[in-house]
Amino acid sequence: MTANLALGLAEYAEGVRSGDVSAEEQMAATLERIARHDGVLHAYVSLDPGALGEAARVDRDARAGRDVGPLAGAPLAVKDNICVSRGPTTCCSRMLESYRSPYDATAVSRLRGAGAIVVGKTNMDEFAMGITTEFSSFGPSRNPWDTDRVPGGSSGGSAVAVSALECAAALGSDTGGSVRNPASFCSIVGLKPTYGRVSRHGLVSYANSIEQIGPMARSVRDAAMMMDAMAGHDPMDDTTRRAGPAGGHTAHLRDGVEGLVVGVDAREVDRSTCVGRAARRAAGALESLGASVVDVDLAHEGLSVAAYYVLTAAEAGSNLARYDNIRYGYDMPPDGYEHGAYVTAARSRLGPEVQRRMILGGFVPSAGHAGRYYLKALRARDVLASEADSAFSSRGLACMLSPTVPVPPFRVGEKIDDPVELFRMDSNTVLANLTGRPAVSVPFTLCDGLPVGMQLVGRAGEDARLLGVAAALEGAADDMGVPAL
Amino acid sequence: MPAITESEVVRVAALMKIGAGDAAAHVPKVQKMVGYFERLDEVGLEGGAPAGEAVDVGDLRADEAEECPEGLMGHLKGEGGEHVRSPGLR
Repeated sequence: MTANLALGLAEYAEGVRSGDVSAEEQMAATLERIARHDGVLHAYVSLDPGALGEAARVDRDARAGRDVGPLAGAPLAVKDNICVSRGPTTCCSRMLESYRSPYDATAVSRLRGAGAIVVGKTNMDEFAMGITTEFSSFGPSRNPWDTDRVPGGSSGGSAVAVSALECAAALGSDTGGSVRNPASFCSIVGLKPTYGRVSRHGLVSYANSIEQIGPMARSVRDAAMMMDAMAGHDPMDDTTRRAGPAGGHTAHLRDGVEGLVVGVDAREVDRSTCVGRAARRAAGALESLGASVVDVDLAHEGLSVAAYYVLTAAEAGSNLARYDNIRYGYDMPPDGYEHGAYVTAARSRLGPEVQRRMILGGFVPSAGHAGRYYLKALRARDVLASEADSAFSSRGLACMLSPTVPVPPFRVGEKIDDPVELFRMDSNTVLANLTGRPAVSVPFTLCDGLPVGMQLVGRAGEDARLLGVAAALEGAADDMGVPAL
Repeated sequence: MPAITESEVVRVAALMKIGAGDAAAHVPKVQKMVGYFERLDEVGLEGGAPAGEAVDVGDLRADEAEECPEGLMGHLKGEGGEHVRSPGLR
């Protein structure tokens, strides 16, 4: 048997069940590929030494005729801010370098229950604050399409691992585009589910009112299969919804787009850049498949990024307050310190972006400034939600299309010193988080050899129908293949 | 004039328990970020409190204590899994 690391999840599980695929050989080949390429790519920050043994157990169970699950033996990469019960969960922060979670996140335990095997934890911007992985305390990941360029972030390691065939699929978390941005930059599929569709239990909180765990995969079908395994109500996360899609998340993958209405922002598709032309071509492709494409303009969309950063800074300021180095953290004895001085000394070791977000998180909701920033950001979120609701209902939209990121992957170090330039990279993705809507990035084409993904934002709760449109767009996309490493 | 002064950055950083030396290094970027947020002035505050999402309390899990998993203390840094050490409060 020869390992085929490009297998889709359905073929993978079917092969393991039938004996045509050996989970152990696949896992061994995956680990070999990681050993060969990850010195440069740096997708992983830790590997699970038990993964190969688990794969052998899956093969034995399959041979014995036991149910091995719909994701049998699939090597799964997990972003390092999602808890696993074996190995570290560091959020790529030195503050949590020695932290071991006592439990699996619900999403992880459900995927394990479906047969997936955690191969390791992936690199990310420290505490998910960034869009390039350059703010990881353990050093940046590299884009497998061009290793001089960033892979996107904050779930950059997961995207690299999927793109470079260092796993079959991965988990990321998306606060303002952190699944979709690296999915676009690395030419994979990334879904930010409707808020409340996937449990956040075991996701280390950054901005919990808007973030979601999402699947990152090589096809829309694989992402839908992961959703079937991990979505649904969880008593450990009271924001999760009870209702799920009838027939599951794969139910609409063959529906096509005939008769659907797709909104596009003319400002995005009229750009005379390669990405703008790609968006125009994507809209045309959906039109040729039977969809109607209409122009949509949200009057206050220009405020979305500012509102997003104000709200997430305020939530981050609160969530990061728990990192006082007492229950977990650096090896720094408290002798001779007063409490406040001790916490201050420990926080001096946090990365620069985390420190900046904490300063912003203290400033924007503070007395004398809350009315100018925090309350206005909350109001802007309401206005944007109302405008999006109105656009979807008045135009009968099934979804809205835009480039996921306005530019192709840029060079490592190119934008790291300009926070506002980095803000602009989020201009198309944050709306879905602020409004709780599902959004998916689909690989569409290459610009000068670099991946460009298209984003579809759907109706809240209609993740399965959104994946149906995504599957149609995927079918119309260029054949990019896999990066040559 | 920047939307946030250097002394305000240092003051807020102290409230967030980030040292003055670190804070000073962040001043230019924090000023740029807050300057970007100024565009929110375009939104008015009329129309009442921001909307929230109502959750039926019947949907919340029971407020009951659960036994901690065996060995939980071992996941914290500390003294042989028995207790953690904290600096004194003044």
